[in-house]
Amino acid sequence: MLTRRQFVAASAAAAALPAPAAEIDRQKFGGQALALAKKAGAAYADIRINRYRNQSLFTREQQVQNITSNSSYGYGVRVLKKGAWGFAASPDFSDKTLAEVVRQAVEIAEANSAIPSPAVKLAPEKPHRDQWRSAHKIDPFPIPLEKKVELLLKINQTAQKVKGARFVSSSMVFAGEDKFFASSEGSLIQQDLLRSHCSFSVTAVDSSRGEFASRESFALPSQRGWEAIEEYPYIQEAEQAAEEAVQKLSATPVEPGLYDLVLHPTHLWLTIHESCGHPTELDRALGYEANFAGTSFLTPDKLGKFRYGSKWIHMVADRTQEYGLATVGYDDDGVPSQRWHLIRDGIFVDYQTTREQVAWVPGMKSRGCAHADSWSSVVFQRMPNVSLDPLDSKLTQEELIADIKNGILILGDGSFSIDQQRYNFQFGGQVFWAIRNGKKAGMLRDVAYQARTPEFWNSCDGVAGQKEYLLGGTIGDAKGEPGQSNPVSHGCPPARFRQVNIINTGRKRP
Amino acid sequence: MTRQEAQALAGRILSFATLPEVEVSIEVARRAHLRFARNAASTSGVSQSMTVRVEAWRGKRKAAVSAGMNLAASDRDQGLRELVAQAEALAALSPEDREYLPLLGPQKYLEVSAYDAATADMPAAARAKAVGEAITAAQARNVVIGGILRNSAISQVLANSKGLFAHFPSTQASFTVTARTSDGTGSGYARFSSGKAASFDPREAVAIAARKALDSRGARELPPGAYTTILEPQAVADLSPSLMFAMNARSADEGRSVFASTEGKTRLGEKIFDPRVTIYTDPQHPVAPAPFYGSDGYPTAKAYLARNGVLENLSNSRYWAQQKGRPPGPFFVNLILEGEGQPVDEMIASTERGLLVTSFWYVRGVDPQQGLVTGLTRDGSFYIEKGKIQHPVKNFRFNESLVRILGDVESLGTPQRVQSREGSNYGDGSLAMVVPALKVRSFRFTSLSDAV
Repeated sequence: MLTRRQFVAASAAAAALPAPAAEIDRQKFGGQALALAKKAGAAYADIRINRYRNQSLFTREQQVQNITSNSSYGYGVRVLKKGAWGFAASPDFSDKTLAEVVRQAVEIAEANSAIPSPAVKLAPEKPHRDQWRSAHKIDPFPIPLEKKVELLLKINQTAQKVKGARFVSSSMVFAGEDKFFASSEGSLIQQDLLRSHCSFSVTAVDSSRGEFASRESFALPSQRGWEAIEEYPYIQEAEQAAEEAVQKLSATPVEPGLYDLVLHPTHLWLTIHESCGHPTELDRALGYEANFAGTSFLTPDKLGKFRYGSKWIHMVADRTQEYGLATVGYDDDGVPSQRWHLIRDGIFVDYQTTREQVAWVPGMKSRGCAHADSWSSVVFQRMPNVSLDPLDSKLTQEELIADIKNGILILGDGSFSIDQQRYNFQFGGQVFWAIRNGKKAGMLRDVAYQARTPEFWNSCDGVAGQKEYLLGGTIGDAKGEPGQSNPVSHGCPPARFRQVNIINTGRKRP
Repeated sequence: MTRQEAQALAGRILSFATLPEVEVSIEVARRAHLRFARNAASTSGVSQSMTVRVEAWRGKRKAAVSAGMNLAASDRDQGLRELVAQAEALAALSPEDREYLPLLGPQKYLEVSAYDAATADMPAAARAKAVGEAITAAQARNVVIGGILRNSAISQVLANSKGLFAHFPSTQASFTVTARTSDGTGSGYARFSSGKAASFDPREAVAIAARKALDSRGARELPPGAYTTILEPQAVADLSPSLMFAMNARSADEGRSVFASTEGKTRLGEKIFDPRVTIYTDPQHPVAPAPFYGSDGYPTAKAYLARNGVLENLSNSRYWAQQKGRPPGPFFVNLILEGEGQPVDEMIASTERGLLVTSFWYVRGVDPQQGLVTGLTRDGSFYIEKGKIQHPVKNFRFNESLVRILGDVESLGTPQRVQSREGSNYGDGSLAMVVPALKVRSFRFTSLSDAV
């Protein structure tokens, strides 16, 4: 067992990698931790021994602003004693510190057991001994920096060639997780995950009028490797984005009112995230997040009864979906990943859950949604990939548009805000096209829609087919106290919504 | 970590450098928390972390490497040596930084005292006792509470090969609580935060949140529109990040900010706000002590951004300051908005028809040209008529600009230490603010929310 982080020799080739630590015998170390916890009277214990790697590159115009590599390796021990949780974590793998970490975790559980609280009960789960790896082809970390910088600067240069496009920034972010889980119930699980994201933003400025407009890339993160960057048409999009940023400056301000909307997947993923992903979290629905993220209008009494959306709405939670950012083999409770419906035929039918949450509401099953964003973070329920399933729809975006007299097509995610029970939301976007008599017309500006979640999803009267399905998502969904970050994907095809309230966000400068 | 230990460690790391310009930053932290919900304990934990970040310059090429470290290990030197070597090797592969500036040499810093040993060492049993008492206080008021008690101790160190050295040890404690009535029709929020855990009593926060929860039951609908609005300090803090973000000199010079004018000019010197609006940052503020160094170790000091309604300064990075021939800074280490001491009760008494808003939620940028943000009221909003609170109102969504409403101020209260509700959840580094309640003549609400 090593007692320090050990780094590989800094050769030029290895220098592009975050400093990796030499491996300890995780199984042996985990076994020691679990034995210490058992000896201290823990009814249940688990240990996560995780290594995280991150690399990020930021550029603007023709300069590189920042290149950073981070790594982090450590362990967290969770114990259940007298019906209460305790948790402690450290990057120090010495015997002495391990004993102290287990002692602290047990001490916390004992101290908390003095607060009258319902005893924590974990749903049964059989032990798993397994390994799992995300579906990436090319590890992005060893790809030379020059190649990464070259692409970013080429994106910037391409955008800057467009007249009126003044500023461009671009970035790449890569993340790797190497996770080990062992529990007192006998699970031993090793998992390796990779995520990649490259994006950019172009700003056009009209200095004579003192106005500016930006257009962000539609490229979205995924649980893939360098191949995801290679496959995306960044250069082509850079030119288009720059032209659209310039065009936005002279676009027609939207007239407020009710419009039919066609929402493209580059936009709709965020609406799904906020208005379906979050309200179907069981901890929120029961008040466990009341102090920060909030509660939910989807309370347990609505299960199986509440009409959340129209018959077109089938929301599927899926931690098995290929390339999904929340896809895993097992969650941080050691539960295998699953696929299940949250909304079926428009009706609210299930929640996102963890082992602990099963006892909270009759009829629940552990859906494997436990997650912690670091070895030093406490595990709680996080969002799986939640996506709009088009089933066998044969519609196309063009057909959705063809059936609209006066509407707007929205692409790209923009400003977003939703209340603490997930009713009232407002979303902007990147590009807004007027739809007149079934055809895409001119560009609009200052567009945002405000709606109430169930009314919005009930106004959906058309979802395009699988051919136009795209997986969007975010690498940084926030929840919990202290705040933790969770990567999560949301897939959907274009969809149509009738008579949605559009506001004009443009005003005279104060 | 003591100053001597920090100096020794930073010196040791820098001794491994082969390049003339290397900067090292170290963070040693112990963070603990206990969450509670539904009048019971939920999750809790304690973690130690040690992060070392090394930034190296090979000529104008630079790169940074950071790693979680075990500084207690007897053979840590090998790991540190390799971390420095990694940064140096990575710098060789990086393109030239066109915004390169030489590292700063030794700096003179202000004295800031922000460390409290009792807060750093607060034991698990003390957290459990405080939360247990808070729950008992909630039960006595017939409300259900959820929230978190946190304490942390963080030592930050910045040193470089030109002799700069800064060491900032600090502690933070906070208790935030949301009280809800058992029927879910009322909700209230309160937050205490300080460098010293002993300076607040969580039971007092419960009392405030419970009163707001009970008072906000039976909220009625009011039509969206513009109202005279009194914003409690928490609500002002919730709007303030957008203002600090906009007070960036470079984006104003580049024509992409609410503080940009036409033809490459900025609005510096313009009377944009009400004459009573004065905004500054001050590392030595008595209730919100903050780091005495900013970007690259440049010293921070009390500095005005706006005085008597006039936009006086915008924040310049070292690079941008050099480009424009200005001094670097001011660096926001906290946000202070002066007040005029009018109690909220008097603001209410002088209101013919208006609203009292206690906090905002999910505030996000909509249009940076106007400093426009959207968000919602949360945890207690009230209708005022003829100088009295008449009844609670349902939550509203708003689309509004803090830059605009600071020009439309009717009166200001007494500044209090607060933090933005969303920003304060992301670690102890979140910016402390000292802001007053504000009464503004017109605040625009755009739709209703059913959320409680």
